[in-house]
Amino acid sequence: MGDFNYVNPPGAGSLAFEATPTGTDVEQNWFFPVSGTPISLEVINGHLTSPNLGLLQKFKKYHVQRGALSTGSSVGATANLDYFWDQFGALDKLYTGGVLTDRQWIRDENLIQYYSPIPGANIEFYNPYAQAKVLLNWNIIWYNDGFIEKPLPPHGCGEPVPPDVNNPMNNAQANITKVQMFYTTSPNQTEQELDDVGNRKCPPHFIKTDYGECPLPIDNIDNYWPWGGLSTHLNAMGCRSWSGHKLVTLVGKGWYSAGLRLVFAGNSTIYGNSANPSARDEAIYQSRVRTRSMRYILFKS
Amino acid sequence: MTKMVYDFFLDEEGFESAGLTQRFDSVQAGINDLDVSGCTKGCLNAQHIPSFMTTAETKEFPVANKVTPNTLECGYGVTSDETAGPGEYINGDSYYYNLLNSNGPDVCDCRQKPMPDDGVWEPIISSYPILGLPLELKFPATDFTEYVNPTLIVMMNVHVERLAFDWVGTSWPQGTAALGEWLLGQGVAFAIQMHDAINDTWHHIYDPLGVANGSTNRLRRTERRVGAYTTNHAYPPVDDTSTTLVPIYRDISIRCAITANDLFNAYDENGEQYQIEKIDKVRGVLSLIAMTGYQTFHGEVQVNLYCGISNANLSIFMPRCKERN
Repeated sequence: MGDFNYVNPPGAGSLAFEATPTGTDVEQNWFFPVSGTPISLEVINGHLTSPNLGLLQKFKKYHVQRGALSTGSSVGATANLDYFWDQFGALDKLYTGGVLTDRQWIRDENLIQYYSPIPGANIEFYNPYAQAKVLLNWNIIWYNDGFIEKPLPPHGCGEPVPPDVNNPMNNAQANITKVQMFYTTSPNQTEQELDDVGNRKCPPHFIKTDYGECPLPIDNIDNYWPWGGLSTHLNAMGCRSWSGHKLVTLVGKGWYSAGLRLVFAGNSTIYGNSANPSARDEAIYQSRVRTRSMRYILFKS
Repeated sequence: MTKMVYDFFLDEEGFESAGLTQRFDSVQAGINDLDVSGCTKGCLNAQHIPSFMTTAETKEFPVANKVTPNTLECGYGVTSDETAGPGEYINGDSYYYNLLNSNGPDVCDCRQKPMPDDGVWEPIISSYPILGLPLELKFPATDFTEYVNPTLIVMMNVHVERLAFDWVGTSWPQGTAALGEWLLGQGVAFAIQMHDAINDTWHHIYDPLGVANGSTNRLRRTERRVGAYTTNHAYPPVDDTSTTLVPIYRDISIRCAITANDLFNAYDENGEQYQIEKIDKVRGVLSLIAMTGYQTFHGEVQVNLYCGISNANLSIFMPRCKERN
């Protein structure tokens, strides 16, 4: 509406000069609700619009209701968080292929059941707007104690290595800890969906000092990775950090959630790991998550 | 108006038309000419005001490794084709910088010289579901000078799955003091670029105060690098299928705010500074860093670099800002 006018204009009708005002006319000017343009002082019941505001009048920040445009929050944790092999599926369940052939993760729709959530990197939030955009933003550092299948010249002892570097999806090695982002896309959705773009992997970083069947002398500083360094889970070369983001369009008020989960092919001490490095190994005994956080900034569309 | 003025009725004053008209008119005038001082704190809610974002868009290249063999193709994979010397590249491949501190066979210690102005960059592209789409976002052409403190926030993440190199030459300079430099010199640089809407050209976002080793070497504010490496320094890769290649799984994360000042700090194709008037796109780009040069007793060595990206996403935000009068 623009400027409002009375249903019984002052100066006319019973309100005309020297006329006798009627109670009805006065009452209607005070309160006469109608659909459309208000015609009484009832206009102040939520019908005021921009033309009612004087020219050059500008609102200040404090006029905007808290949460009217955006909301946001974050969670995080810094204590080490350890995941062990028996929480996850074994190599033969999480991967296809063999030692001498291409190792591949099983398809996501099958792999999804093996993921384990990461406390401190999961968040729930309420969207108060009919339509909104939410920016999810997270940080995480993690690593594992798996052994890298160390290549040797020429081509070692048949280690599972990438046969085609131009096909990097070919994971080849199975001793990888994968962090995956999950989120919901509709209000009050209970099952999170896997984000196609949101995943990162951490390679192993222990070097075997005994390959068993391998005839080459490998217990040499040249064979450590990184070269000359100690192969240890404390080596920063083995950590991976991920500062990820995702922009999601939300339609509908309600609760939403997002977070990170982790998966790797578990392997007990029987087959080799940091506790038993002499055995051939394609899986992981332990993965450790260090600092992690998840944030959201939600703004009205 | 400032405040509504209303004359109270006196005791036993009659409801006459003149008195009522004066008071109705007073209230009407007040309501039709409100003042912000009459509005209480928090009076505006979500229904009253628009989003404070004028633009909020994202583009994602999904990860492969999911459904069909086709999706197992890498998101990006190129080989640099550096030939005789720096500055020459063929087949349209990007190159960033490979000039060493000397080409002389006896004096080279194979350290990189300062980076050039721009090098050759190319967009990160998709492989699935559509092959070849650039990681690029378009928005309404924006003249930053029309606004007060305009800001375009850009966020990009790239997952580098593999990054490795092989070489062509007489022999690899293994076992020499220069080896570390040779290994560390290989890699890929990533950056965000903005698009001049009028001249249809792409430009880096430079640090206006960052000058590296001379005025011609400007610092790209959004640049991030990741290096290639092998598991065994004594046995560098012999080809792209070498067993010495390892997955690196590096996350490239770039956060950037493009402001009006950045448009003043652009450079044209001749290296001359000029002002961009409007930008309408941003994109993520990469450039290969493959070293080429001589090493004592080993002759010329030419390096080919291999890069594989599994997924990437780019998002932009522009908060609503005040127009200049």
